Amino acid sequence: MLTSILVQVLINGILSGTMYGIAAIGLSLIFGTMRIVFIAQGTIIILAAYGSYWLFSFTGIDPYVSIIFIVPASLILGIGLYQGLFRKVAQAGQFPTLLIAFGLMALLENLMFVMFTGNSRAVQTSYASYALTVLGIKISFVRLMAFVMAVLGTAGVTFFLKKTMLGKAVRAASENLRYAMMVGITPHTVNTITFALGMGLAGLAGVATATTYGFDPFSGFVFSLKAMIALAIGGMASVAGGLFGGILLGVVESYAAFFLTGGWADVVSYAVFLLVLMFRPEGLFSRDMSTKL
Amino acid sequence: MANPLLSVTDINVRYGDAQALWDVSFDVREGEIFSIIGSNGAGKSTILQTLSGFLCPCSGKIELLGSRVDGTSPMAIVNLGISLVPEGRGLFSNLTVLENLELGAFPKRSRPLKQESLASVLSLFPVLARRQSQPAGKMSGGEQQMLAIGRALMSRPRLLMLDEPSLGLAPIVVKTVFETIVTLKAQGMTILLVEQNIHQALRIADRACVIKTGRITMVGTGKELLADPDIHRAYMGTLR
Repeated sequence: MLTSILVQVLINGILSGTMYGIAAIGLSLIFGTMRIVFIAQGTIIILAAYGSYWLFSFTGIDPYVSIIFIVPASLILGIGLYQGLFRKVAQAGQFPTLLIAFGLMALLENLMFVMFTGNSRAVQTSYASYALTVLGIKISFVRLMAFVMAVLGTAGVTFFLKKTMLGKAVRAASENLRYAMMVGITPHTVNTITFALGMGLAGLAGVATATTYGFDPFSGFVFSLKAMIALAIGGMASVAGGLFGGILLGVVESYAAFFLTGGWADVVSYAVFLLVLMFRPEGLFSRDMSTKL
Repeated sequence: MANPLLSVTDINVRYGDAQALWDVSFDVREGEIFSIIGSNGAGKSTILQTLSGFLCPCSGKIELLGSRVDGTSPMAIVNLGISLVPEGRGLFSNLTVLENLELGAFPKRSRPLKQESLASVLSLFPVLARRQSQPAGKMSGGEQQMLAIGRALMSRPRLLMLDEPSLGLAPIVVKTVFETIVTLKAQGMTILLVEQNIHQALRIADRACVIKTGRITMVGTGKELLADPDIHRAYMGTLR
């Protein structure tokens, strides 16, 4: 009996952890080429969640169908954000870019608060509380879908980075921007691509959030924090590392909430964050951080 | 006399307050190996960084086949046909050998010729063909130097610039690297070679110049400089 509960807790942890993972991948892509800590990532996720929510409320478009609008819109938003906010300061170092990202986060939060009120929202689909039962383990349908979306999103980004010329250029630029310029890769091009990818993933995460959790205009910041913890765990070196770090964090939180109480989940996850940074700052699974920083 | 492919006229380059190059002028002719020799910190790498667009000369001009290239971006310059193999090789060590080569053909001008260029680079360096899917960082120093040269060739350069290609390599590998440079010249490539291995660099150079604290102090054929007693005294000691 206890084992089946523990397995249940594990599954819940994995499913919620993928959300951190997908946000972490966006962060690591943007950090990889530009060294920008894009703290507004979580807030963009919430913005996308609102997009999905309003589409559902006003037009009845199913949140999973809304992906075909939300993700392209997020990609375009990413291009716009880079060209409008970061292009000029891309070479200026981390402090100005962190400030801009922080300002953007605060602006979006308050804008959403004024426009959408501070009420917590959740998309109430007919299948919102549906759960599959596999071998006595209950698996929430919407959380399973969030997991599937995260895995597909990760696979898509990995495919892009490994198989396309532009993706290879992004990887080259994250390893060494100067050498990338030497072979003719324009920094603004790869920066624009990584921003678009990062925001595209945020869009996907937004839809997943809208269907699985209640959210309000200020829920984004915690997402960004959790994504950073996921990165600290998984390391910056690979896209899969971010996803895996997120899943591990989700599992740790899930067990902390089960064995201690809900409030302890956050305490434990921040403690894990600090412990990992103290003892393995390059990430638990990272082989080589020296080329990244 | 062959046409100058690259002509550098009176360039001055400074890092903030410190001037690194003073009125540097030289020509590189089509099809030759031109060596720039000098001791550590004399300004050799600064010349290459300037030619490849990472540093901007505050005066003077750089022309490739008669058109100005100074003041343009590194990306534009590699697209125009000046390709640099930097000191330390500049490979993307997490990417595979093949990916490094493919990225060499990133400039617009060279992209349509990618497959052709790849075939010729792989036949020039068969070792790269065998290691295609290996991460570049996992190869030996000599193999990495071959890969770095191969990647530069993928851009279809008119001028290939090599910054200290023999640095950190075992003597027998150094020999291979210099043989490769001679082979490339025989295939018609124009090469600008910067070296601290002065004896070897002068031996294979058609022409060369000596740079000392940011100024060019001597220009001549490789043979002339190799025979010059001052050069022997200053750079080669009593060793040959």
